[in-house]
Amino acid sequence: MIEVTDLTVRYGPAGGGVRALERINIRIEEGSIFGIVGESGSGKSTLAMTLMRLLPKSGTVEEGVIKLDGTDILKLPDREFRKMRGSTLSLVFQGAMNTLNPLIRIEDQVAEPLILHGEQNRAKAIEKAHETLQLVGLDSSTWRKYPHELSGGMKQRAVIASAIITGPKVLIADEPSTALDVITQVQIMNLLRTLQRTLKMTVIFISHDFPLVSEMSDRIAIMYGGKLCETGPNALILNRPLHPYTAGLIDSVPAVGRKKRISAIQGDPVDMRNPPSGCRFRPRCTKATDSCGSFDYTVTHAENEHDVYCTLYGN
Amino acid sequence: MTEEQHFLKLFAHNLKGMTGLVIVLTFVMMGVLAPFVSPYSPYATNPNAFLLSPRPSHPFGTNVLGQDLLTLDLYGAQISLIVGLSSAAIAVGLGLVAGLFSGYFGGVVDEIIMRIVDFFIVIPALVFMIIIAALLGPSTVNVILVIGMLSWAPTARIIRSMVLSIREWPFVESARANNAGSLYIMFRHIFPNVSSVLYGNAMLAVASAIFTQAALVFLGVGNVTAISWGGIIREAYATGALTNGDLSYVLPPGFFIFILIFGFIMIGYAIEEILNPKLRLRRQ
Repeated sequence: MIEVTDLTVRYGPAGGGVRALERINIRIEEGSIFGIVGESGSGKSTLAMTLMRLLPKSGTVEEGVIKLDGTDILKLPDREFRKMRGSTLSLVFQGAMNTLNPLIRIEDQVAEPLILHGEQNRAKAIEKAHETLQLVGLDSSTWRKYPHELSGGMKQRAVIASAIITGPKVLIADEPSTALDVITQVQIMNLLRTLQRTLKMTVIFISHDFPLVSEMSDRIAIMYGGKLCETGPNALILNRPLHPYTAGLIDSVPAVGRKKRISAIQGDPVDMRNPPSGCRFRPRCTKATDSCGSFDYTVTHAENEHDVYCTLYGN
Repeated sequence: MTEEQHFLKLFAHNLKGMTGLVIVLTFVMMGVLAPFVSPYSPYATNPNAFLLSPRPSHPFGTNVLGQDLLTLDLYGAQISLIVGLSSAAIAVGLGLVAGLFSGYFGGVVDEIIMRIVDFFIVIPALVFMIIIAALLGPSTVNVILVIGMLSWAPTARIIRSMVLSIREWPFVESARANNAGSLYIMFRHIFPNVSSVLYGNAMLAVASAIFTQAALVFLGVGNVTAISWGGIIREAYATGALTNGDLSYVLPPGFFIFILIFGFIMIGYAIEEILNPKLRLRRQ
């Protein structure tokens, strides 16, 4: 189980800079798929990088705790955490096309995490790589190829193989299907779901594609401007969105075959250098009231683990 | 077909590459076979046959000590190849490591390494080499070290500029997420991506080292007693062979230096053409 408590991450110098995440609270049950949805700059990828402790040099965790099965991974000494990075916690990157080294064979790249985590016997590592590649649906004809000889979907499968070869407890998939066509996207999603079930992993699935996330996940978190809007079980959020931003997102998704007016959310994404006081979504929200300006992001509505951060409910 | 076989096939069809290879191999044979094919011992002097003009017994004539010039010219290939290849290996190795560290770490490390590179590029290398070689004392090993240590800067600069862009590629970040350390990333992930330039560059480094060695010996720096083409030209100059129009004394070693350098440069171009897809010509 992963528990994120009051996580705040800043880019830039203390006192100034930009808070990419502010007081984020998330609970992720073991063996579930947790979806995180948000537009560009909402802090999705920063959250993923913080979980992996791979923030760029300019990024600092100001406060907060990330507990993985009870241990605070942010407090672990580097040497301890390095044993977990890429083995207990794995990351599938955004833009998989380029996450493979063009000059290293597929089997070697898939075996690499094993070798980096102390496997001395190269032949054994390669053998395990073959098994894993087979598991993600790549047959022996691809094993000794170079990345440019594979299609986008195949490359993504190889990337997933290298992420799961160490048998991670938690797999973080940051936009794993971006830049793939719809058919391949579905295949990759199905693959991730199957792997999650057979390997009993916890999957954190990050995307800006709301329909895709809702189809995949058990629970969802909606993020906006470095803040949470709403977290809860998939079905609840989808059928009864409480936060105006979530509702706006759902209304802006076209549905094939259904006569439905698509409405966009008005306004521009939040300027993170100079965020509005109170609720970050306030300037774009159609239901904003005066009290929104002093909103302090306490949970205003909680039922069936469906938490909403909005003045419309309670307060 | 493996990459190696594929490379060899492309190389075999590359006119420049094959020209260069034939030239270089000819000189290698010349150096290796010199003790067996030369008509005289390179060290045997003959006070009765000094400064002879070309004749059937001495096709290129003899020098001031009565040594056969053809013999000396054949032996000269040895030192040129040894010095050229070893000092280029040192220069390219140093340049690679400096470039990788500089480009990968950036910041202070980059600043320090690049200022050292600037220093070596700005100072006239030959003059600096003369000073260092004079301080170290005359020996072939010292000449190799001096040429190697003073010619890594251009390689370092080229490698650094490539590393700067390659280190931003997602696969580097992905390797980091798999727990790879800096050295591992530099040598396992980044190095293969710069190697195409490195190999082409290495051939040019060999060519330039051969020339530098000849120039140093001609100027009397380094091991002037070892038989080398630069040394033969130096003696020819000292004995006034040039003013006498004694071309068989000067031309063969000069011509050999030129051809051998040409050979290495051609191989360098060929390697670059093959490894860099942007330069590769499609064969019908």
